[in-house]
Amino acid sequence: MPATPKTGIDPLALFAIRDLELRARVVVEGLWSGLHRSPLQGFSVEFTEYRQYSQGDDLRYLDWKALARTDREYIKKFEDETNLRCLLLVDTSRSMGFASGEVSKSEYASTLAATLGYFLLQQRDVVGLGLFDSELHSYVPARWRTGHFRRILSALSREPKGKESNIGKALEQTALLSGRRSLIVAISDFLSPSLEWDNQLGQLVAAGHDVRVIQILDSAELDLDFGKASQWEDLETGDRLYIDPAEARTAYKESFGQNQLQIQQALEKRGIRHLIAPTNKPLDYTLIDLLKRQPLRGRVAV
Amino acid sequence: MSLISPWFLAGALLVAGPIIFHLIRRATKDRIRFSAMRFLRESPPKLQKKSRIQNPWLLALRCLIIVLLAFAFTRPFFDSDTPIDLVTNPPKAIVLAIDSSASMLREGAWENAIQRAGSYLDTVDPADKLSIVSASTNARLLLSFEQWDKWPVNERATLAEALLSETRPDWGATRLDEAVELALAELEQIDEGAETETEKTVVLISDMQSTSRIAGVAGREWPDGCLLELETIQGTHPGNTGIRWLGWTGNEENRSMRIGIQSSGQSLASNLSLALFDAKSNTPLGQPLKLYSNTGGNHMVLLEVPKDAAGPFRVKLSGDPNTFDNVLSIAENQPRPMQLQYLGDPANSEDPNQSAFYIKRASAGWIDPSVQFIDRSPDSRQETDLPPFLFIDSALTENEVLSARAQIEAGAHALLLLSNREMLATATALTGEYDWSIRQTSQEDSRLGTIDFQSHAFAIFSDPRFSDFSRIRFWHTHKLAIPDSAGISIVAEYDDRGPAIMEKALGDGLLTICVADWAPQKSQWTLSTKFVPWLQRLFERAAGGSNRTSIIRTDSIASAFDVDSVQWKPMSENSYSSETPAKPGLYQLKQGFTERWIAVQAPSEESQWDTLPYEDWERLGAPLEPATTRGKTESDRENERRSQNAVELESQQQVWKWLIIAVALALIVESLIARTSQNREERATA
Repeated sequence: MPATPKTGIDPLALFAIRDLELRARVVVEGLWSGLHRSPLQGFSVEFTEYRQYSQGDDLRYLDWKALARTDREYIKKFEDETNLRCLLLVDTSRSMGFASGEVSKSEYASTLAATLGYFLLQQRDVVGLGLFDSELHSYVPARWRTGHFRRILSALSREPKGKESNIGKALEQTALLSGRRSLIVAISDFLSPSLEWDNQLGQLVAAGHDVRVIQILDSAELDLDFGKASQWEDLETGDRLYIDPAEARTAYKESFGQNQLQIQQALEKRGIRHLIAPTNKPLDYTLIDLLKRQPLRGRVAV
Repeated sequence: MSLISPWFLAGALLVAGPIIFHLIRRATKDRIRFSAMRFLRESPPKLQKKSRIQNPWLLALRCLIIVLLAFAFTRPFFDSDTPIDLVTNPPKAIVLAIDSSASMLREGAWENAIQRAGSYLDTVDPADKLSIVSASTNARLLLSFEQWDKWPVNERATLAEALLSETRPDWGATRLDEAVELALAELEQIDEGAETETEKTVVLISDMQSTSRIAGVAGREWPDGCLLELETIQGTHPGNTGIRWLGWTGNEENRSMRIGIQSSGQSLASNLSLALFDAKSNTPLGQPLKLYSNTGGNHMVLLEVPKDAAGPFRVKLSGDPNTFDNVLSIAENQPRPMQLQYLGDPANSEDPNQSAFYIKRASAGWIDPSVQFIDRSPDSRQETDLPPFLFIDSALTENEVLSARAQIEAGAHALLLLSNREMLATATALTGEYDWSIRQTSQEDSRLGTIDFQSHAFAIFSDPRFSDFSRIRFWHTHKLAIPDSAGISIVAEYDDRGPAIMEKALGDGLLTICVADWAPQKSQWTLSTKFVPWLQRLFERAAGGSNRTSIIRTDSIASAFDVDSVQWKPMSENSYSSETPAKPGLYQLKQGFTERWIAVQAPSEESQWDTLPYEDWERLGAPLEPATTRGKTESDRENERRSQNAVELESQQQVWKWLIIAVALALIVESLIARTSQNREERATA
C-alpha cells in the first residue's frame, strides 16, 4: 500500500492543461502504480495457503509433492488475480456546469473520470464509460484494446447538452447494460433527492457490482459563500428567486446538510462508499481516496 | 450670458439616457445562476434598494458631461457693454445705379425710382461713401465717391437728392451691364491704399425689363464682399402697347408700312388705333386703322401710304395710356444727287487714253450717290451752287487754283491726278506744300507696296480676299518726294516708298491726290477691279458717308454717323446744330453739301415691360443679396445686425472651447471612476 502524498497537484495548475489525456497522465504518473487485489478469491497463480484435504475436493489442486514428502494430503489455495471491469458513470446535467471559481464541476468530473480510466487501462483493466443527465445518453462498453481510451476521452470531451439530471433512471439503464460484475464509479453532484436513485442503486449492488459514489461539489455549494443579493436562477429549471446569500446562508446550510445526511445514510445502507470531492481539492487526493482498498462492510441483496 | 443657438439646450434631455442605462444595467447584470437552488429560500429584497440608482456619482458625472456638451453647442457668450456696431461694422460704399432708359419714361416709374433712391440715401451713415450711376445706352457717373467726399458731411444727402431730382431718363436702351461695370470700376478705387476693407454694395434700381442687356455681367470679377442688390420698380400702369418700325413693303405705286404692335404686361388698352400723318403738315393721311391687341402679343399691321404722299411721316398709336412710345417717325431713303465737276479739257472725257474718260464712265448709272458729270469752269459757278466733287487731271491756272481751293475749303471733295511734272505746281498750290519735288527714277514699273486699309477709301478692301493689289502695275519714271509729311495723310505707297495716294484736309473739304496717270498705257489701275469700288468710296464720302439709312435708333446715332462732320436740325427748328439728337423725332441731317431727313426712333425693346427673372442674374454669377435677407424691413436688418454682432462676440470669446475642455476632463474622471467601480464589482462577485 503506497503512502499518501503530502501535497497534491494544484487544481488551478492542473486545469490550466487543456488536453484531457495529458491532464490524466499528469495525475496518474504521480500516483502509486501497483496492482490492486481482487476482492474475490479464486484460482490464480499466486499461492496463499494449504488446507487439509477433505473428501470431495478436486484432486487437481492436491499438492502431490507435499503428499510424497509428508504423506499427507494438502489442497493448495491461490489468490485470484483477475482483470478488473470498471464502468465510470459521469453526470453531465446542467447543474454540473456550475463554477464559482475557475473549475466547473463537470470539468472536474470529466478529468477525474479520465484519470481513473487511464490509470486502470495502464493496468490492463477494462474500462467503460456512461454519460447521463435525465437518462444515460452515451455509453462506451468496457473494453481493453488500442484506441479505447481515445473513445472514452472523446465522449468525455463532448459538450454537455444540458438537461435536468435523473440519476435513478441512469442507474437503471446501467444495470441493464452491465451484465457482468463490475466496479461502477458514479460521479455526480447528487443534488437530487436520494429517493430518486436509492432503489436503483440497490439493484446494482444486488447484481454484484462494486458501486462507489463520488459526489462532486463546488465550495460555494457547501457554504454559500458566493454571490450577492440579487435574482438567482436555477441552472436546471430556470426558476428565479431573489436571494440575499447573507440572509439565506444559515437555512441553506441546514437544508444542504440534511440532504448530505440522507445521501450518506442511503449509501451506507447499501454498503456503498461515499466520497465527497470539492472542486478545489487536488485531483490526486480524490483518486487516492477512491483507490484505497476498503473491505466491504456487507452486501445487502434486495 | 447669452446663447446663440439656445435650441441646442434641448440636447440636455439626453441625460435621461444615462439614468435609464443605470437602471437597466442593474437589472440585467445582477442575475446569478446557481446549481443548488433546491436548498435556498427566497429572501425578499428591500424596496428602497431596488429603486436606488447604482453609482449615483458616476451617473451625475455622465449627466454633467451631456449638459456641458449641450451647453457648448448653444455657443454661449458673455454680453458686453461695448457698442459692437462701431467696431464690427466696416464703412460701406454704395453705388446707386438708376435705370434712366426710355422705359423709365412711363408714368410713375421715374418718380418711384427717385423715391427708392431717396430711401437709400436716408440710410447712409456719415462714414459711408455713395456714388450714383445712371444706366442707359451709355452709363454715366452722376456722382463719384471723390465728389461725395468733398461735400460737407451734413449736406451730402440733400445734395445727392438734388442731383437725383435734376436727372431725367433719356431715350436710350437699357444696358444694365454697362452701369454695373461702371459701378464696379468706381468701387475698385475704394480699397486702393485703404487699411480696412469696405463693405461694397451696388444697388440697381430699375424696372428690370426682360430686354435689358445684362450679358456683360457674365464672367465679371466682383470685388471681395461686394453685393448686388436689385430693386425692381413699377410704373403706374402695369402694361403697355408700343409700336415699332419693321420696314416698307409693296412697290412705288402701292406702298405700305410694316408696323409691329407689341404688347407686354397687363395692357389696359382696348380701343387702339393707328394713324398715319404727314410730318410736315401734321395732317392725317387716310383713315385710322383699328387694332385688336391681345395682352402680351406681338403682331404686325400694314399701314397703307397714299401714292402721292412724300415723307417724312409720323405714325401715331392712340388708345394706349403710356404715351411715351406711341409716336413713330419715319423718313424715306432719298437718292443723293452729286455733281462731279471736271476741271480739264472736255474732250478728255471722251478719249480712252485720258483719265477723265474712265471716271466719267465708272460713275455713270450709280443710284447713290447719283453722279452727274459736268465740265464747266469753276469760276463760272456761284458760291451757293458749289459742286461737291472736283476732278483735276490737268494743270490749273492761278485763278482756277484759288477757286478750287475755296470750293474745297467750303466742304467739297477733290481728286487730283499728279500724273506728270506739270501737275506738281497745281498740287503744291492747292495744298500749300511748296517743298514737294519730283525725282526721276530708273524703275520701269511700280506696284502699290503699302496700303493703309484703315483709311476710308481702302477700308472695303481690308478683307484678305480683296486686299491683293500686287498685280496692278504702274509705269512711270518719276517719284514724288515729300520732305515733311505733317498735315498730309499718305494712304498708299509704291514699292519704292514713293507716295501713291494722299489725302489732305482743307477747311471742311478733302483733297485726294493720286500720284499716277490712269491712262491704260501708264497704269492698270482703272482697268482693275479695285478702281470702281475705290471711286465709289470717294464719292460716298463726298456725299455724306456710306450710311444711307434714314431711320435710326437713338442709341446708335453716335456709331452710325461721324458726329463731328454732321449737323442736325429738328423739324420744329430752323437752324442746324452739331448736337446729336437725344430724343426721337424727325431731323434734317446735313453732311457736306447734302441734306436729308432722318427719323430718330426710340429703341423698340423699351416698350416691352416683362420683368427680367431674378435667376438670370444668378446665372451670370452676380453676387446677389442672399434670398434670406431679401425684402427685409429695417427692423429685420437691425435684428440681423444684432445677431451678427452676437456671432462675432461669441467667436471672440470662444466659451465653447472651455466647455469642451471641461467635458474632456469630466470624461477622463468618469472613465477612472467607472473602471474602479467595475473592478470593485468584479471583486465582489468573485
